[in-house]
Amino acid sequence: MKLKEAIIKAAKVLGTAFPMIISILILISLFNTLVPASSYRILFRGTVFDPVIGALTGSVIAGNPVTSYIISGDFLKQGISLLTVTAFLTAWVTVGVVQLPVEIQFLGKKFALVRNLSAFVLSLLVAFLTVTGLGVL
Amino acid sequence: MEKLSQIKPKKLNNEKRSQKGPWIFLGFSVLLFLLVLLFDKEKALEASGYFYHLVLEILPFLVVVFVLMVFINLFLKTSMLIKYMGEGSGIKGWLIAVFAGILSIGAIYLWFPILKNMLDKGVKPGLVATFLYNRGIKLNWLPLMALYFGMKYVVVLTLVTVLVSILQGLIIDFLLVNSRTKS
Repeated sequence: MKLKEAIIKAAKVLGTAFPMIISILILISLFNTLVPASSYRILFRGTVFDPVIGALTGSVIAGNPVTSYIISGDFLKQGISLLTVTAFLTAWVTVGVVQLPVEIQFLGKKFALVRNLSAFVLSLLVAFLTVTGLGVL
Repeated sequence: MEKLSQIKPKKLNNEKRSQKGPWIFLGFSVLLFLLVLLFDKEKALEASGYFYHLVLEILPFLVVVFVLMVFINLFLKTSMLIKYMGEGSGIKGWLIAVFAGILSIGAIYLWFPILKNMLDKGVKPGLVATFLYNRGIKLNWLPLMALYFGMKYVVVLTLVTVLVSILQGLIIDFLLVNSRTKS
C-alpha cells in the first residue's frame, strides 16, 4: 500500500469515528455534570449485592481512572467493603456502557456485547481474587 | 447468480445504515444537551466546559491514532498479523495483547478503528478483548493508585487483571470463533 492510499484509508476510518467520538464526549460531559460523584455512595446498603451494584455503577460511569480512585478512596472511608470498591474500580476501566454504540459500530454487535457482559462478570471475579489474594499474602 | 444479485442491495442498505448510525447518535447527544440547556442553563454551561476540556485532552491522541493507522496500513501486512496474532499465534499472541494493552495510551474509543482494522486483517477476537481488558492497567496512574490503596493492593490487582484478561480472551474466542465456525 502506498503512503497516499494509507493516509486516505486512515482518514476514512477516523472520519467515521468522528461523530461517535463527539457524541461520547457530550454524553460523558453531561453525565459527569448532572450526576455528582457524592451521590454514588447512597447506592450501597451493606448487603451481599454491593459488589454487583459496585460493578454496575463502575460500568455506566465513564471518565478518567483517577476519578475512580478518588471516589473509591471516599467509599472506603464510608465503610464500603474492599470487594465492592475493587469491583467498582475494575468495571470502571474494563466495561464501557457509554461507549458501547461506538464499540458496536467498529467491532460488531456480538463482539461488543459479549466483551462488555463478560467484563462485567469478570470484574466481580477480579474483586474476589484480589481481596482473597490480599488476605493470603 | 440470482442469489448474489439479491444479496448485494441488502449489503448496500446495511452499509448506508451503518454510515448514518454515528450521525443519528450525534444528533441524539446534541438533542440531549439542548434539553439540559433548556431546563438548566448553568449545568449545560458546566457540561460545555467539561466537553471543551475533554476535546483538548483527546486531540493529541487523535493525531497519534491517525499516524498509527497510517503505519499499520503501510507496514503491518496481513500475513504478519496472522502469524503473531492470528489463529495459531499461541502464547506469543497473548503476550503481545497483554503488553500492548498495558502500554497503550489514550481513550479506549480512539482504539476501536485501529482494532477493527486488525480484526479485518485476521487478528483473533480474543486477543483484541485481552488487549482491551489490559487497558484497565494504567501504568502512569499506578503510583497514585498506590497512594490511595497501598502498593500490595496495586500489585495483586494488576496481576489478577492480567490473568483474568487472558481468561476473557479465551471466553471471547470460545463464544465468537466457535459460533462463527458452526454457522
